[in-house]
Amino acid sequence: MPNRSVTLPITEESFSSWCHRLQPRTEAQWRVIDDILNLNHDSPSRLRSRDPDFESLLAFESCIKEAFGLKKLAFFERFRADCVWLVPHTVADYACADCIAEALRQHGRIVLLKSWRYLSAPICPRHTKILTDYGTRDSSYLQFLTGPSVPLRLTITGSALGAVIKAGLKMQALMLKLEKQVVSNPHSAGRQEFSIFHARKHIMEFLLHAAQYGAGLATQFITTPRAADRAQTDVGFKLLMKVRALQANAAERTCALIMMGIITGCVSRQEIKELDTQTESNRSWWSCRWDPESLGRSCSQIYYSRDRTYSRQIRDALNTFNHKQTREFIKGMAF
Amino acid sequence: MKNARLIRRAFEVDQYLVLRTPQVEAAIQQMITALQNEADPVIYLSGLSGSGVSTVLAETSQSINRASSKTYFTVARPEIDDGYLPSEYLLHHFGFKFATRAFQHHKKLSPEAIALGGMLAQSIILVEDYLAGVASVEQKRTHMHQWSQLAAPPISLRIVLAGPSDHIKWSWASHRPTGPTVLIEEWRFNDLFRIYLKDVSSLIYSTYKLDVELPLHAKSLFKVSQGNTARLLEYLRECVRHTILSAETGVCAKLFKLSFREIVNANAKSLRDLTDN
Repeated sequence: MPNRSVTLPITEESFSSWCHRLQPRTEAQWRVIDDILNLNHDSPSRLRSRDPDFESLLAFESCIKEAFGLKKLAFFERFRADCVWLVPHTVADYACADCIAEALRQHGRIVLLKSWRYLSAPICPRHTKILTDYGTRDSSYLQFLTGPSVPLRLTITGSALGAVIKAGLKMQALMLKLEKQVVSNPHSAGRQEFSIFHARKHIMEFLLHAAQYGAGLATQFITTPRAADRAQTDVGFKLLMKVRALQANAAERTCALIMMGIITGCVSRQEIKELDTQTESNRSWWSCRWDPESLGRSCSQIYYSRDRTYSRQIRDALNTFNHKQTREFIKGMAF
Repeated sequence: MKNARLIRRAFEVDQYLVLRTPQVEAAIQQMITALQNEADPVIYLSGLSGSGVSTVLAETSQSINRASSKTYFTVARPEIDDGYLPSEYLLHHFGFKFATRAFQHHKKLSPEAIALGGMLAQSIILVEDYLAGVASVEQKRTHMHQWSQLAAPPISLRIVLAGPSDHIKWSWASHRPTGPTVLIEEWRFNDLFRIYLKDVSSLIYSTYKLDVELPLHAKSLFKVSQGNTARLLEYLRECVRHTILSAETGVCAKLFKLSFREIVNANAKSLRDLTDN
């Protein structure tokens, strides 16, 4: 028999969002919700500081199950991530401002979607908008009213932004489909979709990384460059790529998705031309264009005279794709 | 076993002996018309305790839901901290968490409340017992100022402020609506009252198969209820309960000579006898 005292999750809702909407009545219920949402910072709970959405989900689930009297095991399946490449909960809460307003009007509560934590999903497909960065997680939810605490640093607007979002959405759908295939098949290692996914991921990490004296091309193409982080000067290039990709904001991730699509041949010549036409007037100091060879040349310029330890790994990733546009990028990179 | 069934049936009376009055029907229509008319952003709903203020509010929200695409939210005041200002009520109602007194007692709305109001644009907020917890004239002024700010552009929420006109629990502030008001009238001793009693008689018969001609006792029922619907229905429920507990087939005319207190006492005795057995 269904437990009618519990609010049902909305499609694609994240676990922490659902917990936030639950209305605790008993002390045990209050305690478990506090633990999950970190409302009580003095709590010595073992769950504190864990990712309530995708890390140790079983531990969180068992607490909720016990406190709210839920029995059905399959109930929690809906909260599982469809992707493996996730934005850490400690980095930022990305959300679509329009979806949030709609949820408030429709459900009387803020509803956060689990896909907003997927690194390859920086755009809201419903409202065709780049997700807003609301800063680090705050369980009061007041940040969703006071507006974005961290600007996206976008340098493009209007039709240029529209063209970027259109291309980004196409690549987002492709990447999510591929990632879903990889997640749904636990034995996919060694299979083609597995190697393609990891090669695409590696190219995006390369485009999103931020070195101590510069940054990946996708972090300064449609956004103003990031401030240098001196704390990570001693970190190796490979780790820096991984870390900075996770720290990239939604606009930078959109740009990386499109660039990866161009390099791997998923974005057509026609679409590249459209992007070039639309973003031409918005281009600031970058003389660079969206075509694969220009992208390769720009990447090469960024790392000219610097450590080139990345070159073998990026070459391996690029070799996964036998596309004309990939070859043009390699030519631009002048490996 | 038989007694248990009888007792349960007697207590179900509260649930089944409910009949909307023509005054409530009229107030619902007035409220819907007032909400369709965009001219008044704040509408008051008033009436004496027991006249059907909560019913009108609930029925209005259901009508909005059925008839238009507008979103409505019913904010039930007694569930919330009495010290909250209207803006804090809204934030609390929509699941935002904040330390109490974080927004202080200012007449001006907090930026968070303004942003929330903007997101809820064009929605209708129905506030039950809007003066509950308001302890002074100064506090009432602050509350009313905030409600009017929430209803004014650029936020432009439509707000229904409902409250009984005689007395509001935990409130020392008087309820004298200053804007457009939908008022639920009390009963007058006329044909409308007799028709209502006839409808209640039919309801009693259809639900419990008990014979009763309430219009014959209209005078005494009007006297005992003082024209108030809640008092009338509560009295009639006790009469029906008494008839069920004494296993009779009709409501005895003698019952209507008793006061409310006397019937309640008689029912308590019947209940004791049944449970002792």
